[in-house]
Amino acid sequence: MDYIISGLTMGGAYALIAVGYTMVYGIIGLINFAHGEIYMFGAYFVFAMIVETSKNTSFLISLFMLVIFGITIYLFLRDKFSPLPSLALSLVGGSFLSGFTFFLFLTSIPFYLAFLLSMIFTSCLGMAIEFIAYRPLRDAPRLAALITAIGMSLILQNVARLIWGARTRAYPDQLIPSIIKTQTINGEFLTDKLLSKMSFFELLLKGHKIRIFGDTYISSLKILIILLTILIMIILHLIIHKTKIGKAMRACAQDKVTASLMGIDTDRIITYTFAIGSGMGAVAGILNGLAYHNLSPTMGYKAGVVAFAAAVLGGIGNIPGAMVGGFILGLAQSIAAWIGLSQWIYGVAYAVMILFIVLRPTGIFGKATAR
Amino acid sequence: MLSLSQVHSYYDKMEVLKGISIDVAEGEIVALIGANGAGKTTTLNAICGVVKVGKGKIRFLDKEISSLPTTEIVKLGISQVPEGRKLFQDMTVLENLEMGSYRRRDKQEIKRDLKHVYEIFPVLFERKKQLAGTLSGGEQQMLAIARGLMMKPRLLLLDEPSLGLAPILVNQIFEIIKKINKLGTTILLVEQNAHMALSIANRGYVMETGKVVLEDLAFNLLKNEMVRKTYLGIA
Ligand SMILES: Nc1ncnc2c1ncn2[C@@H]1O[C@H](COP(=O)(O)OP(=O)(O)O)[C@@H](O)[C@H]1O
Ligand SMILES: [Mg+2]
Repeated sequence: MDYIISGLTMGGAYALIAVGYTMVYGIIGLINFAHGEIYMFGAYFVFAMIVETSKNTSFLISLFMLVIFGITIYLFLRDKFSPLPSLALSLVGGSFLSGFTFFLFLTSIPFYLAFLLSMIFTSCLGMAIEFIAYRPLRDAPRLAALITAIGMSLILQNVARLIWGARTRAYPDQLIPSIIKTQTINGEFLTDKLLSKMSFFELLLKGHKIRIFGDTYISSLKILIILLTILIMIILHLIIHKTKIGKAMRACAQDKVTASLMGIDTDRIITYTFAIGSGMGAVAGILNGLAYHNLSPTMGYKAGVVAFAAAVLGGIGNIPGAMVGGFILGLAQSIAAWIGLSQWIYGVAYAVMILFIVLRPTGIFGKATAR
Repeated sequence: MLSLSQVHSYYDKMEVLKGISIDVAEGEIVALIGANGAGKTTTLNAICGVVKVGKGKIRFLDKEISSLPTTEIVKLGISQVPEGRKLFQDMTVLENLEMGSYRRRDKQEIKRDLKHVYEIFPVLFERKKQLAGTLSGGEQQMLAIARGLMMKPRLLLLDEPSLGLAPILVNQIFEIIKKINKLGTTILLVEQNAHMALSIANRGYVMETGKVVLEDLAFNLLKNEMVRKTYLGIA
């Protein structure tokens, strides 16, 4: 049981990342190898905000944010103003915002706020990457864009190493609201007597282990993570199918020239796609940080490799496919760990992917709906 | 309303439009005919900014548009119904129509136009929840035109609307084009079906390998010996 829950938790994170890969592929036909790093930064931003970070480190992160904000502001302003004023304005705006983030990083702010801000920051990161690295190569050979993506991934990994160092970090427990803590009171499970007085949701919110049957308990944190993952997926589904921007995304994914003939600003839609994909990547990173307590500059690479496999498994470009693919690989990995193959979980993920590709070359849902 | 003067366009280094000049006045139906590969589609794409204008000028409503991005050109009131329909196959009929009105902010009027479009094409109303890719050829063409109309254009560019349709449907489509024009939309109609096109148009242009070789009233073109021989198949 524990393995299944763990598999679903991990699978949820993979699913959230895989959706980012698949959305970007659907719309510009590029494997965004830097997406794993976006996930990593999502986790680290929260870390930097909920703990008190040293002046030097805060300064470094803010410097990075200056670049990111500057580019993001510029990319939105350049449609309205000529290049020079846009540049000036983005420099001013970027400095102002990154100066503000300096204090956010320096001090310690509540977890929820950090969660939200991290999503915004990573969205900006995603939009900035698209603008400086991928947009100039829109019409270039695929290989050029692919190599750039790999390069971007390495650069971001090294930026993180520069800022936070290579060692593993963890969110400090006392700064995480009790709602999402794993521990039980006094480190013990609740007695049946106590349990009977509390409702399921109370338990969930109080953050204890929940007894399913007999001796089987599951951590409410993991349940919360799974529920949150599903909630985010529902929201994404609604965005894509019910909102104007979401419909425009699908239109662009199917035929960009015709979409532009409808007056859809395809570059802008691509920007939004990166923003949404990156925001979801951040959520995955943060949830993973909560569940497994290990942040490292290479975490994005590791998770990204599996999430990419999940996206391929679901039929790249296909959003529901990526979600299901993520859960399948998460479960496959935890089953592998259960039967004693914990050294091999990445191999297992790829073996499952290859098996699926051989059996169903078009992905689990047969047809790529996002194209 | 629309005027192309000495427009040149290129694919890579290959010159596809070799200095063409075309004028369309408000309220007209202008036909652009020519054999496969003459450059008709490229002409429409040059107007919409999908293909770059190398040399020459395109003016629309007294505004130079030859270097504007597609979205800006569309905003001025030009809408193209592309060759081969180019529907968003995996979206529903209604969603395709919504993409047509993507740019517009006038909610009330969009609703009215939608009703109007459904009146012209009742079959689209019946199938509004169906995926565009599952429609028949004729229905797809109707949807493509309807989507173009939802943009509320002042100038509608139609690229081979009769392509691949059964004769009865062709008649029906041309009736609808006439009707749309009567209701106030100017039309530039690209067709290989020269007879049909010229019979509903006011004026016509004949293109051959990137050049306009003939222009006249449609009525005269129908009688022109060269046109009759080459495009109408009448000796
Ligand atoms: N995307 C393209 N790349 C290169 N050449 C093209 C492209 N599209 C069309 N052409 C060439 O341009 C010429 C004109 O094509 P087109 O405008 O489609 O003609 P028409 O619509 O009159 O049939 C043809 O010789 C065609 O081969
Ligand atoms: Mg053509």
